[in-house]
Amino acid sequence: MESQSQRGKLKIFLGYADGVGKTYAMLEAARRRRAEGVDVVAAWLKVEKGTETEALAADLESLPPRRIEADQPVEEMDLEAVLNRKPQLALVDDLAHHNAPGSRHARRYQDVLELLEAGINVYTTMNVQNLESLTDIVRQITGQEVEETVPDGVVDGADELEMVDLPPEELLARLQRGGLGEAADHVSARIGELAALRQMALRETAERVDNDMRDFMATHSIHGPWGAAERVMVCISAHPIGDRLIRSGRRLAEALRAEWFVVFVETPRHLQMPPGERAMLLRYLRIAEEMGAQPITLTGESVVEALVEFARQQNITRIIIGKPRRSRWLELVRGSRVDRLLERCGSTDVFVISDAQPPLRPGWWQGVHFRAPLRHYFYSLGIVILVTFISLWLQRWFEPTHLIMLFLGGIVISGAYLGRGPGVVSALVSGVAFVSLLDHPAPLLTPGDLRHLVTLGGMMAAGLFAGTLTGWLRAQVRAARQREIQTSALSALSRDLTTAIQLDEMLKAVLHHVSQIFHCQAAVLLPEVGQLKVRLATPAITLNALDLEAASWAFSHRQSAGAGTDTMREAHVRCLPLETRNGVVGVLAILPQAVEQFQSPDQRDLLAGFGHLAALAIERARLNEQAQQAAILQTTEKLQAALLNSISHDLRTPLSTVSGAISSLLEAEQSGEELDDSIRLDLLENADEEADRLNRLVGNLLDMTRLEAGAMRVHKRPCDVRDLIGTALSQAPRRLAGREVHTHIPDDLPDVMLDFVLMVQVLYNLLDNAAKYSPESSEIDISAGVYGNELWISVADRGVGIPSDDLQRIFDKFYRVQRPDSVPGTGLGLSICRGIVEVHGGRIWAENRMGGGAVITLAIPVGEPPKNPTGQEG
Amino acid sequence: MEEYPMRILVVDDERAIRRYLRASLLTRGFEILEAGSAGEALQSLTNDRPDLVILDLGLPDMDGVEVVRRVREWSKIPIIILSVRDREDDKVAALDAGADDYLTKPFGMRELLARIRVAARHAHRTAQEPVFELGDLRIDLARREVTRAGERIALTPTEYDLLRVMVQNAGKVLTHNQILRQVWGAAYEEEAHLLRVNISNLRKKIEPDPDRPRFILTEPGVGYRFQDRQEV
Repeated sequence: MESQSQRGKLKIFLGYADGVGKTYAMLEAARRRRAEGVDVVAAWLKVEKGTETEALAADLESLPPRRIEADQPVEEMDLEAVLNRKPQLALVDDLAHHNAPGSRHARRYQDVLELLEAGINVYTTMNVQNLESLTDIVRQITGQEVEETVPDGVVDGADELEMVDLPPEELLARLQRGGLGEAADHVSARIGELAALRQMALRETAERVDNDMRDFMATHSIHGPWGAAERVMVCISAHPIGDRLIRSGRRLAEALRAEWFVVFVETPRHLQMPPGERAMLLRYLRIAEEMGAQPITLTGESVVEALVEFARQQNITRIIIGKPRRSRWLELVRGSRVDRLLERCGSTDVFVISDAQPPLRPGWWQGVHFRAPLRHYFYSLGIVILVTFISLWLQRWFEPTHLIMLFLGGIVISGAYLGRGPGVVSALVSGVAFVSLLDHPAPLLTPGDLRHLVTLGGMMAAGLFAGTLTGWLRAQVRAARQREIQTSALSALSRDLTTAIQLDEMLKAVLHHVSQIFHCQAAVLLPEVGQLKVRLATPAITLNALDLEAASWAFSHRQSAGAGTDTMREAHVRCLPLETRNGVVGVLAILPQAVEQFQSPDQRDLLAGFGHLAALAIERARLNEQAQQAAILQTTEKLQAALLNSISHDLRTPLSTVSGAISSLLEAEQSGEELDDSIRLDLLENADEEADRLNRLVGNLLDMTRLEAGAMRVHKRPCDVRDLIGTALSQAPRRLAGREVHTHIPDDLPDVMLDFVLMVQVLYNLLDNAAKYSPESSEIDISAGVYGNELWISVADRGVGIPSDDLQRIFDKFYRVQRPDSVPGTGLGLSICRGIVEVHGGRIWAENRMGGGAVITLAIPVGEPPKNPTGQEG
Repeated sequence: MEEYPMRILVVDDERAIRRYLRASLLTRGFEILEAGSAGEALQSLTNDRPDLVILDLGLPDMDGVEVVRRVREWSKIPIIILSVRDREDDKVAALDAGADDYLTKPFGMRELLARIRVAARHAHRTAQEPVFELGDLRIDLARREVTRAGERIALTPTEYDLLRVMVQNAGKVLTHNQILRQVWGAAYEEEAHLLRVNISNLRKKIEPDPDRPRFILTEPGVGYRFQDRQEV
């Protein structure tokens, strides 16, 4: 129960007409709650002046409405104010209300859902006829269309339903008592209707209460008579019957406690669907979703095939399908879909609902489009004229029965290439030409005429058939291409995303593809320090405050918002939450070219596909970042540990030698003891060497710190390589004293851009290293040369070489080749070398030498050859 | 080597360093003055008239380079910088401001003594000695003649001027700018490649092994130093 208390509870006061006292009942209940100490606020109330209801509402705290400035200013519930006020219980009258443009949500029930989401309990009122699934029946009872509706899901989700009942007669009496004579007259005229509505309201409430009971039994493992899970499929098309189908489906599904699907099959023919029909279809799918169905769009060539296939996959047990009224002969020609479905679907129950209304598009020409451009008609006439002339010329040798084939050929060509209309025109003209211009064995306008009619009919059929067939093929090709475009768009994005590692690269790819495929501007917003901020956007998009608000809403509610949706539709952009299994990672904001752009399921699916890929990519990048940070942290910790070990050892060793030497000298001095001269000298020399080593070590540590902190500044200047090597040698470490060092420097080396001081240090370290790891009598070679666009300098020794496993690692910080004879050092020298070489844009590597020993080579880009007059001056 | 003890002013805010320098230098027969700040140093310079200054750059009241600049306004007293700052820019700044030499801490006493000797010699130099000998290299400034092992070396006029400037400042570090100014003139201070090429050519002519120069030494990032004959 604790977790439940997070979400507010919804209580709906249900009536069957205005005036039965829903608001009154709600206010009474609210007052009782207030008396219990509950914090009650009237968020929106609609009360008539001077009524008992107004008196009841008088001393309740009520929030001022929000005024929306428009041509006619309107007042709406101030959702933001209620959320900020955060009462325990909010009263919201008239759940079915449609909000004025400029509100956050299109409908009030969405406001209420948001209040519940925020943990605020809500009391609300509505009439039963506003229930989405009942509008059909209500229309039958009252003959009027219900405009404001509430999805059944909302009412189903209510924690409590209270039926506010009043017999119609009493309602009438009350209205008369209240001086509302006009309303009373209206009511008395409709008393029969009201009785029917009342009955419906009572039944609805009872049914829902019954459902609650069943839920209770189910959750308490009380087995009832309901059997295996039923699954209902409602098949719709762009036909007005769809509303009824969906409502029937809902009632059936509800009665069966079944999962249900509302399915539309998109065939190639639908690509030419007029916008009105498309809108109708979209509305159906949306309503279905609101009613708790899963809206499904299938694609296939045959409606029946696709439906049967889907039904089989989903284990559908009941199918609801409409039977539009159409002329019998068309049914004979085309065959009835319903019949074919009945044939194909075996044991599944099929409910056929017949159309009571006349079809939307009466006439046999429905679906026959004569949309060819005008010039196609002229072309087709040209073809007929050409054929006629050829026939006139040929008729000396051929029978008319042969020549008619020529005409047929022309007709088929017109139909196939120019369209159905030109095909028919060409058939008509051909017929007339054939009949009137050519010599016929039988004279015209005789009973033999009938034959010509047959000829004409055949020609017409050929033209139509060719045109239809080709049109259909084309449509199919177009559909395939469309699908292909979508698939390839998604796969292209996915490919780009897999190669990108950095977050910004990924977002760039997403925006690039989105803007290319949808031809619109877009932006990606990511949460930064608790606030949604534009991370990356295409150039021509700017988000205003409302857009950002829509994005935040989409982010926190995991639903699309903004243009083309039901929430904050005044925003310019459509905001798609980027969602993964682990939560929302950001928002994709798209500036549609038109509001309808993302209404069609294929566009929406594609957008959702992009959104999904983007979300995964962002999540991947985030995880990557986190992993990297963790890895960095880990290495840093390891490094620090190694550094501390190294420091404590390598700093203390020389220090203890120095202080040891000095203290023994001091002690000898103080005690007046005479030390042997050679011992004194040895102590002093030792101390001096170790102090030197200490200094070197501190220098290395400082350099390493500078390199790591990025504080190592490189002053690249043209340098003489010979001077560089000479300087390194002249500064040579003590260890090198007495060693034979050979230099191999060609005379024609150009000046190279590098930091002389740092590079001297690199060479010093390499020389020190070579001296350290080779026998004292062995030679050391330094070679330089330019290869390609690089300066190579290598330092080679004749030592024991480097184990091949370590060739790479010797440049790592604190890494030292394990050797039995421990050579002093920190393992910093070579890593400093690598650091310096890398800030020069170069590389450094180690190899083992032929004939023993190691060689370390560094390569540095020569860079732009400095303009350097080498001639003599002066 | 001197008739009267040389007076050295040690300017450093670290007492340990002053103590160590005092002890080491006193045993070599120098007279030591101490200053813990730039203010004290400037006062001591006017009052006590020392012969040489050993100056730390990181002073509490004024940057050492600024001290050099102020002293150079009225005095040619040799100044040796002794600092922990090892960046070449710092060295060049101090040398260009007029310091005679630069040593980084930690330093060896031998090296400091050598620098003191060189600085003192240049300060007391009255007339230019006409002949400079270093190993088998002999430079006769009066006759503008350079020989190695008795063999004459042909130098271009620029190379000779360069060699002369370096020899006259033997033992002292000269910054690139200082050499360029003295050999080519103030307008050529940015033409580092002139210097580089001529040094390289000069080395090929006078050094026994140009790959490992012994006479013309490079001070990385700062300049060049001609080997002092007494250090060979």
